[in-house]
Amino acid sequence: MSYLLLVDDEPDIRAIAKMALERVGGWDVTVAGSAAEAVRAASAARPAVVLLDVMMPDTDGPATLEQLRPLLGDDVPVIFLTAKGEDDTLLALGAAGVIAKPFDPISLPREVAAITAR
Amino acid sequence: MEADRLSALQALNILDTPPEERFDRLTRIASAAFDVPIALVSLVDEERQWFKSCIGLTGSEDDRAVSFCSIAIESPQPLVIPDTHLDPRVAHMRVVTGPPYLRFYAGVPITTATGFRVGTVCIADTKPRQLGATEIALLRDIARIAEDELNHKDLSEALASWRESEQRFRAVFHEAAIGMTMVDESGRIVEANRAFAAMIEIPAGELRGVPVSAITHPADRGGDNVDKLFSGELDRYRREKRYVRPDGTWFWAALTASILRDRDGRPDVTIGMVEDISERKEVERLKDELVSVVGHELKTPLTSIRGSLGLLEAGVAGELSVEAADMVRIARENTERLTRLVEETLDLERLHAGRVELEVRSVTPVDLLAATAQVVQPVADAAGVALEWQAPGDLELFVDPDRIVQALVNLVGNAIKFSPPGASVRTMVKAHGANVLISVMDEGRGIPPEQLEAVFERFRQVDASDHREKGGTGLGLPISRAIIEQHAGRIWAESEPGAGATFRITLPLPQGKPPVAVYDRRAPRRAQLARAVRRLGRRVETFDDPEVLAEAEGFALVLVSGAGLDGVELDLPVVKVDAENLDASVAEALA
Repeated sequence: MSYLLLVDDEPDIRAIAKMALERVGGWDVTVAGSAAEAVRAASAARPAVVLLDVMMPDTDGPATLEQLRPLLGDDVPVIFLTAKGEDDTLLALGAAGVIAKPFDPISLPREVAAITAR
Repeated sequence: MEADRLSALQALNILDTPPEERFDRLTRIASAAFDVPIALVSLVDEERQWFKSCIGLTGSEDDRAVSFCSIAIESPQPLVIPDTHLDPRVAHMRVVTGPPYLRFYAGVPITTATGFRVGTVCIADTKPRQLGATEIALLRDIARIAEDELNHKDLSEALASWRESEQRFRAVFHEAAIGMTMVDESGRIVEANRAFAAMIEIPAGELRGVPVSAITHPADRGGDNVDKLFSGELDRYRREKRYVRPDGTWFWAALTASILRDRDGRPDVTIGMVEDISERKEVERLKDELVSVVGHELKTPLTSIRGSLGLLEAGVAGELSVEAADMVRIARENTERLTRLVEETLDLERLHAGRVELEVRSVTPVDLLAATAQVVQPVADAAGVALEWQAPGDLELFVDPDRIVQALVNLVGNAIKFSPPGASVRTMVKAHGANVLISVMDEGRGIPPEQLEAVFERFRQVDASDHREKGGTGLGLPISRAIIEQHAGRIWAESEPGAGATFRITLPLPQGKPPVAVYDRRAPRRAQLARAVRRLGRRVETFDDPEVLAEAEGFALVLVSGAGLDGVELDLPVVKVDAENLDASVAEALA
């Protein structure tokens, strides 16, 4: 199973996305609630994909990406989760794609697969 | 005719008034000049004759049936009866056969300014006599004087009552609890009452001559229609505006203004009633803020609930029993409805607060209908309702397509909801003068006349049970109206109960003039500027990037309200507008 790192500060969203990605998408999911947790997780094992929430307290999505990128290398796709649009700005930061919040958990794995397949 | 005569008599306001020297003088002259014991100024009422002045008779009135005067007023000519015993019309009368035993009568009718013979000046004697032509002429002259006095009284009383009503008006004006102003054609205050002076914190005396614009909030200066009241284009108008006090603070007020005309019907001053609505505005602001905060706070938990239920329902967390799956479905559907309600409430709140920036571009009505059809066709199929679309291919609109489609989806979606299976919903677009007219027609049960406006209010549905049965949020039409109004268009409903309902939208067609570019880095200011341009019926496109603007073509000019374009090379003329006086300065720039 491929290893996916999910970074979101809201525990409920983490739990829902984790269940959908594991049970429906067949991913092996590790969750992180902050930039620090994400950096720890990515150091321990390099994920195949990262789902990264944009709006987080303290260190937001783009800032977290900056910290993660050296650990991930250039070829690991990072997908932003956002409620705000701004797709172009986010893609310019080197993201592989953007998924709008609120997402439908059942179709989330499909959306992730579509982006990583590009 | 007699009724008209009687009302002309009534209008003189003279019946049953006390004796007056100006009439008594005339009867004294007549009595002396003709050497008769009896002289009268007599008015013929419905059932009596009444004496305004009387010499030689007791009492101030008599039966009309026994009166010589009622015969005299039948003709404009003087009535002379030399001997009553020889005249069959009067010989039997009580005043002839009994006291005062009249033998001689001569009367000349008196006429109102409007031409009605309301009475006579007459003389009478107890012995027969003849009247020569000169004497008749004299009696006529006296009658003319009485006539003038009578009609003059009419005028002077009108004058008095006018003065009285003016005094009453002044008293009401100055003592009213509501603020009142009088404004002249140049937009200056002629008079303001105490209540208004207290609101604006300027003594009433010092307000005279002050231009209204000087005490109006800069953003609200464009909306006063004093000129339209004077030109007769408007009878009255009502608006909400902010007045500014000398210390710079301001208050919200509801102003109702109408024109006051002088006695010749010419516009004199506008009269404004000003009600302080600061408190209501503050409550509205707090309410909107509360709605916004609560709405945003609800979104996060709703998303989680919706997500969890979706996973449960799909069996992701383990297979559910049929009953459990049913319960989860109900929970999920209601969560979705609640989410929709929250989202639409927030949307409406943003539209009302003017925080929605339209992304205007050129589209054809065909594009708009196609995009609408894509959303509503599945709904129509499920309801067994046919959809018909009709639009000319050669029209161009300058609108925010997403927002207009949102409004159309609401209208067509509603029409489907209220249509029986087998019915059809028709959407038609056509040019209509300077506007495009969009009509959405259904064959449903229609809307009662008193509800045609109410359906555009929040949470108002024609039938209270609709809310549950039809699954609407009750916000679709208010949102549609807010969207259309932001496009400077109109939306309304028409219906004959039982014969279906028609919702109509008008949107202004772009005028022949080229569009206007608006540049500002700040989104709210940009939107504000764009709205001001749109209000003038001009197409507008907004820019927040000077480099994109430098590439733009086909614009008449660029309007800017702040700095930020310095050093950018533009082919277009750049006009800086005065943000303090936005509407006027935009109008000037585009003139």
